[in-house]
Amino acid sequence: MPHVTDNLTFTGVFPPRTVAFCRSAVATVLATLCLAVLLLLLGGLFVLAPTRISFAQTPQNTAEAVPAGLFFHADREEAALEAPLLKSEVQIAVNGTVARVKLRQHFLNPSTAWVEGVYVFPLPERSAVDRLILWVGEKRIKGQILERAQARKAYDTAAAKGQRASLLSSERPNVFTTSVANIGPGQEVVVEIEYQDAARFDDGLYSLRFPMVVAPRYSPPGSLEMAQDGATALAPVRGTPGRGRDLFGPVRHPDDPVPSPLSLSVALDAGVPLAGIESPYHAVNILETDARRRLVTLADGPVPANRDFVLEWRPALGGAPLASVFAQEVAGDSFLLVTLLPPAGDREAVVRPPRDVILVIDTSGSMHGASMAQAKTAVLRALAGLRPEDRFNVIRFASGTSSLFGDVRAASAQNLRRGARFVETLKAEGGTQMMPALIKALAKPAQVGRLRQVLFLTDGAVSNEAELFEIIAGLLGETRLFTVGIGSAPNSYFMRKASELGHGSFTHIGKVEEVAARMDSLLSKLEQAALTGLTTAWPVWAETGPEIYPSPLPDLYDGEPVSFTARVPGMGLAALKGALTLGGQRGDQGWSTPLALDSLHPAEGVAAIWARAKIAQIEDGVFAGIDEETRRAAALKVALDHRLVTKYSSLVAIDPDPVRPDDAALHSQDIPRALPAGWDFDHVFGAQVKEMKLRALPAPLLKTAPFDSAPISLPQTATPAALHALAALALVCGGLYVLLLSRRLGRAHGRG
Amino acid sequence: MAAAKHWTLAGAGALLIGVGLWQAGESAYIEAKAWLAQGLLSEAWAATLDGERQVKPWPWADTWPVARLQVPALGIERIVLAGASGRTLAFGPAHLDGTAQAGAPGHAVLTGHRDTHFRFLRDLRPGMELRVQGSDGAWHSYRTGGSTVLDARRARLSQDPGQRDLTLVTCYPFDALVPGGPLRYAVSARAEGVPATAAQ
Repeated sequence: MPHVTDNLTFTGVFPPRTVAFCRSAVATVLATLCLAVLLLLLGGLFVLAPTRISFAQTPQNTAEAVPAGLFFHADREEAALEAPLLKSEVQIAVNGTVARVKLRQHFLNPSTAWVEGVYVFPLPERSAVDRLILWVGEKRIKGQILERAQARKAYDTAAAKGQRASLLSSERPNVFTTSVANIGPGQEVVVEIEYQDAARFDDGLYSLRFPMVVAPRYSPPGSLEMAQDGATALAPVRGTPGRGRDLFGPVRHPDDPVPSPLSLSVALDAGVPLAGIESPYHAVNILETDARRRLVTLADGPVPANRDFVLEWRPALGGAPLASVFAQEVAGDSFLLVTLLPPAGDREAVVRPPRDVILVIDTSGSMHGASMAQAKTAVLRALAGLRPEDRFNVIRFASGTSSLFGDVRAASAQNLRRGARFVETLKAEGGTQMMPALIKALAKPAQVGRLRQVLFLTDGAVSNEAELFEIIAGLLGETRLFTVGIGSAPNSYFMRKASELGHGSFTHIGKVEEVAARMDSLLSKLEQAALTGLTTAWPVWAETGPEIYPSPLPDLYDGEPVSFTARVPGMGLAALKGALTLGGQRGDQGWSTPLALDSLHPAEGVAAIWARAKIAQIEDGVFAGIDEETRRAAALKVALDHRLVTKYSSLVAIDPDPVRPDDAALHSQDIPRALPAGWDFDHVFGAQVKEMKLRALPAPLLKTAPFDSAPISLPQTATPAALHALAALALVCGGLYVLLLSRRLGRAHGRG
Repeated sequence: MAAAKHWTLAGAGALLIGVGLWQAGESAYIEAKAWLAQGLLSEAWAATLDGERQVKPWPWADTWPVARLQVPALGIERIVLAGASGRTLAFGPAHLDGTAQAGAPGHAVLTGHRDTHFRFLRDLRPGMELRVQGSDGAWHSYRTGGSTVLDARRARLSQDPGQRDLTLVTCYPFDALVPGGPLRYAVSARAEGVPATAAQ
């Protein structure tokens, strides 16, 4: 361009100095404008960046289907109507390691209206729920398995038509909801649920857990308030003052006189002579039928459903089977449940590498009281077990996170004393913001030659499990995560899955007297390297390849058995011959054990346990980046084939005869859950109130019932004032800088 | 030559500062408008209480005050305007057309700018008293309940017959610099007792 102007016009008309001046002036102005634009852009970027981050942080898929009833599910009805009463009966039959559990829930409607009862309750996290029966008097209506949304629709339709109906759906692998529609005034309806479970075997002890209550869950504010799926997803914001409520519904205040009583009996056939049997948390009567059979009932009749029931039994010395295979044949396929205790390593020969131990302790309000005492004792016990060559740190978390040291420090006597003091002064208060603590514990990679172990002590009363699992799977590396479940109703699903993803193990501590024994067993696991590289070798006939879950088999710690389920397709039990060989690696020593396949214990329900394990494996695909749709399709197929209730499938039972008169309305009632034993209502909800107070009270704008709501258009209510101010600041600063530059140039010129 | 360059540079600096001052003016204008208008509105409100209807606070205004909102605990007082349009909102919080009148049975919604008139929403806590004076001079007392963050694209209005509800809405997050996000912060309140008739 300048060339053109030079040649054509200006050169001739204006003196060269003027042209040069103009050219340099134009260049300067252009450069300045560019600078201004740049400054504005930079300012804009600066302004936009935090906003974008704040949006990125908002969870994408927190809109959960929270159990909600039908029709008149409004707050105003709650006060007027008495909620249905609930009592539960549990019958557990144990055959070796396989347990079949029948749970009967009686819903009694004391009011004069027609109601729908909704009850949220826990089941073991690996339970295979495969049966629902609705009893109306003597009439027995069997449940059907349907895709979740279809089941919901069928139930809603039946409920609207006035038919008695029941829906059993799963909110979490260990949280279920029963809904029963059209219970007439003064009537009682019984819902019968059955599931398959497997006893746990660890350190020579079998244990079976029946959870009774879903502890109030803390939902981090971010995941709650961003739920955008209409009113149901925002249900936790509702609730009335003085009455607790969490993501899963209302929680009964301890002063509220009506409990939901539960009676329970266990028929145990251990398969081997028994040395001892114990129920650590409930008083029981134990009837000895013969050397290997027991009948266990609650000593004082029905109990409030507020703490997990646990039964533990120990086989007689030398009577403990080193291996057991339970088997079931279904449609020509064989299903096996294999448990095998690997030979103990030579304890003296074991090399104990130095360790970096990070103790993470939950000090949220839900841990107040007995739980906190257990957790503190457990941490002190773990500190006492450290050797001088080890290093350690203690991290505590509630609403915030803090730690003893910035990073791990040597387990010197002085540091250990500081650690003990830190632990002793901890107080349980506040919310359960677990993620920052988890990240802090897992962020640093393990050092070569040292075992890095994270001990995580919590009741797991959180509702954002999926987010936490992703953190663990993503950050773990060579670190190992061991969870210790504390309290009367810990979230076992969280404990188990977190330790699985963390390649560690999980331990339950239910009362302070157990701390010593449980922690010692855990500490001995921590001291030794794990048993790794477990493999199964099948006889030649199994060339089609048995389908084994979990796959690959997880590493094992001291005292833990190899345990897996397998499906041998196209072969009946009679056709199984030869031996299955299990092998693995402990340090640099290898071992293998053959397991005869012709002396199997037949047991009902093994197929269901296998299917449940398969679904768990499919769900774990999320950590391998398998998309939701693929997982859903695969899991749904297994669930429907085996009639299992999962997050994708529900059981629904519908009585074909309508009973509710057309002119009577149906009122939905959530049945409040009990507060777990040892929990302090004010500390749990009090702590949440501090953070969630605003959300704990009615928010009428969001109370969206389908027929009385109208879309509303909310105007934009922010001004660009701050943006203008920022631009002004950037421009003035830029301008001052340019002025300064020009002055310096002027001075330089004056001197020259 | 160099002198010329330094003068141009000086000019450019002045230009930058000029544009900067203009931006500062824009910002100040927005704040000043919001602040000054409330003063003018108070007079219009006094006239309204004297029985005039749809008192325009300034001759060319296309809105008029419809209520007075107070938060005794925070020492806040705002005059609420009719019709929540962008132009109205620059002068004061506004009543959302199509919702109940503040103080009347039904569900009233008031919206205001998060950076000016309704900035105090972030300080509201459950159980605080809100006072609303209607154009008839009667005061209505509300008690704040829950608050929530919602997506304006999906917001729905509920109606709880027989109740007098009031929801205050503003943009969210409070400290975002760029206006225009879909999020809103809403605080709900429910009327308590019978309206007091005595004008304050």
